[in-house]
Amino acid sequence: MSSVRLQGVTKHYGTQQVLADVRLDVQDGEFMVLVGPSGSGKSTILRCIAGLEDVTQGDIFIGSTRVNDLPPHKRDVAMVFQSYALYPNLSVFENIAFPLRAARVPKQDVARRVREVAARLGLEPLLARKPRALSGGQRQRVAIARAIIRNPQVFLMDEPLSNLDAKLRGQMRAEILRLQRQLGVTTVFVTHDQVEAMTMGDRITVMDDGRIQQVGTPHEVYHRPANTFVAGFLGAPAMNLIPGRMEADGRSARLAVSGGGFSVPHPVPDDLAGRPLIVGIRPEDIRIATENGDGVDGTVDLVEYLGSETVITLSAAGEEWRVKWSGHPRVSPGDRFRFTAAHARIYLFDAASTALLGTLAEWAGETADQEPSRDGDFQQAVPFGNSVWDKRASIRIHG
Amino acid sequence: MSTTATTLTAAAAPLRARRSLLAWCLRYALVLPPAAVVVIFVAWPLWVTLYHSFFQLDARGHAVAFAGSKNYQALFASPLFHQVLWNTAVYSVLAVVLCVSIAFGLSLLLYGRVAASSRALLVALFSPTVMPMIAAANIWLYFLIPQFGMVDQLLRWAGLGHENWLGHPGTALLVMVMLFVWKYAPYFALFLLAGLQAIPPDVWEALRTEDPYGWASFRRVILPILRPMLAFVTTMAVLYAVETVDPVFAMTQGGPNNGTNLVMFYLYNLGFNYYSWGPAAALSVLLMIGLSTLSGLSLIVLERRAFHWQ
Repeated sequence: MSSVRLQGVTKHYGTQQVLADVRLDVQDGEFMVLVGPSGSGKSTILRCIAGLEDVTQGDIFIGSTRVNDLPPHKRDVAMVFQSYALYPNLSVFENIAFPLRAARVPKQDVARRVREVAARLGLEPLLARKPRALSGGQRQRVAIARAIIRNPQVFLMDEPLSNLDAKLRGQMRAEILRLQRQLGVTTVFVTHDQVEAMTMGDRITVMDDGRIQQVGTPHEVYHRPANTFVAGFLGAPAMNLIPGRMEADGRSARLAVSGGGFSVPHPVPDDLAGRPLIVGIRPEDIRIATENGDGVDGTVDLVEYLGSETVITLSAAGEEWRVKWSGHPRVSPGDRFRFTAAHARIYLFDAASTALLGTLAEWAGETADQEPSRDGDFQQAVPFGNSVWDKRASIRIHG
Repeated sequence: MSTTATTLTAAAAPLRARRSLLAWCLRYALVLPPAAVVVIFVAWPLWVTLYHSFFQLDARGHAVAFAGSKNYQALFASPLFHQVLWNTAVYSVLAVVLCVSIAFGLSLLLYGRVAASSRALLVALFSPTVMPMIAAANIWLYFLIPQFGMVDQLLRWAGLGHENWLGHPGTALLVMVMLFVWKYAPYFALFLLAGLQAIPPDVWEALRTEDPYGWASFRRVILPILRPMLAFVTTMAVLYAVETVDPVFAMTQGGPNNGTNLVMFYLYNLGFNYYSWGPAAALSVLLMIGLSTLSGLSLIVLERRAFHWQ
């Protein structure tokens, strides 16, 4: 068990930069998920840690050892590949035994350890089979068994679940987590699937374009996205990101977006006023505005009923908004209404740097009692009871 | 419904019978040309050879009397034939072992650098392969001219004296072996390279992370995966080696002192120079049986060891 530390790691393929100054600390025993769109460099980081790729600049430490110049087999890491990389000519037993045989472990020990690991993963009945006679999930287990048997310092998993069907993926997710907790081995797990990232990671590293965008707990990256990329990447549907501007007159202020705005009864700091902003509101945080309250006026374009929830696409003066409500609200294309969100749930990003500036509540100096992440969060998040829907007609805007 | 259908079927029956007769004729008419080729150029000569091997033949190759196994006995009674067999065995074993091991080495080298940068290397390696053997033999003849040929010039430059390579039985046979390796090793390397490239990159990478010495990867994974391809290449190499005749013809005519007289060249001489058609037919039959058995056996082994990715 060891920590993994990347210091200023840069990687070029020819003139193309695929990793830019990556700094990452994975704690001893931590489950770290690297997530990002394809081409973001997440797999490259993993391959650099494994030693399958050289870094152009920077240092990689496993524990206290600098491993830059060590070949893969000396780094004491075990890699699980997306396609499992089972040795097709060897039986399941021999596949699991391979790392021990290669390391010249005595025969009796090999047999004992293979049986232990096989028992742990429920592979005992399959030991005599060849990989081609296994299902996808079974192959995945063999690949994991082959990684576990080495007692490595670090597990490296490169999209190990992406070749499985949805149901099996859910099972294996739980199983990998359970094993990781039991063994306590530091794990770096690469995925492009945000559900895997959110559910599995102790912490998540969000990557884009060869750079780390944010490192944090699932809760932090979801509720405190560092920039518009992270805000837009996590969450389904993604956070609404709409251009806006803060208009202030010294006593009060108004956050204007096309189709409406949000009033703040307090002055806001000068450096925010007049500055081009990106306004971010998560689809599940959007509420129907009270009759004469402020908000944005929108027209329903599309209603997607997903069973437990409904995603509504609205257009408001040329901008598209997505709204997620639980249940099956009675709403149909063409309906018009005004919507808003709690100030603590309205994120402000700098339009130029895309970095998070804070929530509207913070800038308005409002108390943090609406801060997300409290126990009452769920209650708050329940959108919009039926009683309000019943008043729908009255909040329709004329025209 | 069913009555109508029956009536229709009944009415159509003669028509359908005529149609199926036509189809039957057409089928066999289409098979006829290739079948004729096989019969005229393969089956019939084989049969005639087999038949003749048991008959006494005159110089024009006509059977004059039944000979039983006399042709075979005559063949084995000749001390020259024994020498030819020995030459062929030495030549084949050396040529096949060297050729396949060098081809394997080459394929590993090529696999390491299959990038576009190796184009020039590939062209250099495969030019002997695409060259006709008779042309290659003549080029080598030119290289090996005592004193003035490139090989002797190089040796002299290195201070190693000179040698009449084709003038002694031992070195001449060695030259034949080298020529075979030079010509066929890159060709067989191509097959083995294809075998290596069929191994998914993930498997190579897994081996790199799991095997500290490299030996287990080779012995337990790479070699078993390549084994069918190696068996195929070895079989092909044996067939090619035993059938070698053109470099002997072009370079040594079997000499010196029958040191390079290989079985195919001997067979040619037996028929077309000595007019011993009977023993020639007997030798053909033996070669045919030997080589078919070899390829049959290796096919069976190949199929049993056949390796499936999925």
